[in-house]
Amino acid sequence: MPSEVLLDAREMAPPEPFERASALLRELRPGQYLRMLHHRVPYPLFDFCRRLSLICQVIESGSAPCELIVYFAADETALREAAVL
Amino acid sequence: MRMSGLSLETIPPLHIPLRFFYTAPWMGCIAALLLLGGADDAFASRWSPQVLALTHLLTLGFMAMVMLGAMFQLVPVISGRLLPGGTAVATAVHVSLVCGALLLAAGFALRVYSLFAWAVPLLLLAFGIFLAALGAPLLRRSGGGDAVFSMRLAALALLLTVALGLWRAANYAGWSLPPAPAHVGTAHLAWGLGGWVLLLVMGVGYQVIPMFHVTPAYPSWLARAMPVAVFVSLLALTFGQASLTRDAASACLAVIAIVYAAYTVALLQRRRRRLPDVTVRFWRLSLASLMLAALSLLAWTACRYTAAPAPPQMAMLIGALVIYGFAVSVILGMLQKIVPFLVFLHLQRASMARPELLATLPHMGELIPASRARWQFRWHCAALLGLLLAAGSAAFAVPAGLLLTADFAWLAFTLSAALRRYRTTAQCISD
Repeated sequence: MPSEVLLDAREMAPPEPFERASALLRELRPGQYLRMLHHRVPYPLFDFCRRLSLICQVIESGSAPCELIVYFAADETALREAAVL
Repeated sequence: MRMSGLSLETIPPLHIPLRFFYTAPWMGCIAALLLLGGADDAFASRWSPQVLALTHLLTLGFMAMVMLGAMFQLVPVISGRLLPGGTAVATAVHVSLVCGALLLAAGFALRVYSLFAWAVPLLLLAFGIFLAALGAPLLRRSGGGDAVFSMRLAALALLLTVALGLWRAANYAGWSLPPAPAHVGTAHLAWGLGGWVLLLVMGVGYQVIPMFHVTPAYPSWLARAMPVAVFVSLLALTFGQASLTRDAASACLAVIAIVYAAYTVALLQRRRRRLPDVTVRFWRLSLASLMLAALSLLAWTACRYTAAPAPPQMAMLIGALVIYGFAVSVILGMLQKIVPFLVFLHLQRASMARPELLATLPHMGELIPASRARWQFRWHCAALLGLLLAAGSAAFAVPAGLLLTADFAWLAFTLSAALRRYRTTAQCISD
């Protein structure tokens, strides 16, 4: 089961969520995934994730107005089995 | 969810909004120097040439300069459409507005009204191109949210302000147009300050207050009802035949301004994270000034129906509160936030190809340090106080002029330092 890195950005004003998330994502290793809680869809992060070959998925029924899971493709099966995705 | 409606693919080049933002403080400095130069009869009457020159340097040279720059930035992002003409259109608007505002102010200050023959076409060009370029995306956007709704009405108000103003200016220049009726001056002032400025601040606030200060959004019914009520009041003020109708419209406008200001103050109190933020202080100062101006307008209107006439300086006081207290305050506050945000956004996009560089980008707080922004707030409070005192007594005109100079010069210094930081960082990214 990949380990979770949590970023709660619900009370952050732009561009702090991007700054924090991009710093965490640069350090993210296979076997880890980022769960980001946000009050809006963080569009600029999608392009950044693509460039790092990471996959972004917005969870519709999350606990925040926008909940984002960012992970490596190799971890997708494990995340589905763990019901993270 | 304010940002969900934003299109980040249509962000215009940084130099487009910045050319307007960086010109504005120098126009403010010229206005301050004008106040210093003609301190003796600085506020003799609200229609004196000296006051008209000062007012137009502040409203066209500073306020409209920043507002047009902000619209060049915001409208493509909100509407999802690039502006036709791009840099060429922005350059034409910028150059025409600078030259037109300076010539208009010079015409008033020197009482050489023949200068209006140059100022009028230049201002017509500036606002005509601006409205044509921005009108298309604003009108095409279906729905568009509360911000665009208010901005559409603001653009219409601007059109009327410019038309009425140019009619008056053409009369000054001696052109063969029918003379403007006496209340056209008041209508021009009302559409400019109550329409264009108030409606635009409302529209921009609907977008930036929830986004930058992490507050709940304005309820949509209120966000739509307030601009409509402002617009209808202005129509009644302009076209109402009976003085009672016009006074009721003035009172209605004042009440809406108070409701808007009170609701926005309450919204800022509901910020999710109560960190010290100079922009919030500027918003509060701006909204308090708007409330005070609206209450003064109510009192001024009520005085018509009492035996005691309103003191003649009251009109000057209301003008100073709306222009310098409300509009200039909110503009200064937003510049402290928007300029570093735009610089960061463009640096971030420039370094996307090399994500490792993201860690080296300056934070917003490094682009305009909090201490520098706090000094801006102090200078501005002092300058506002000086201007309000000068509106009551000419003895305060010189200190007010000095404080205004310091206020705008500090802004120029702050923005220039942020630009220098942007250039050095952008150079590192491209190397």
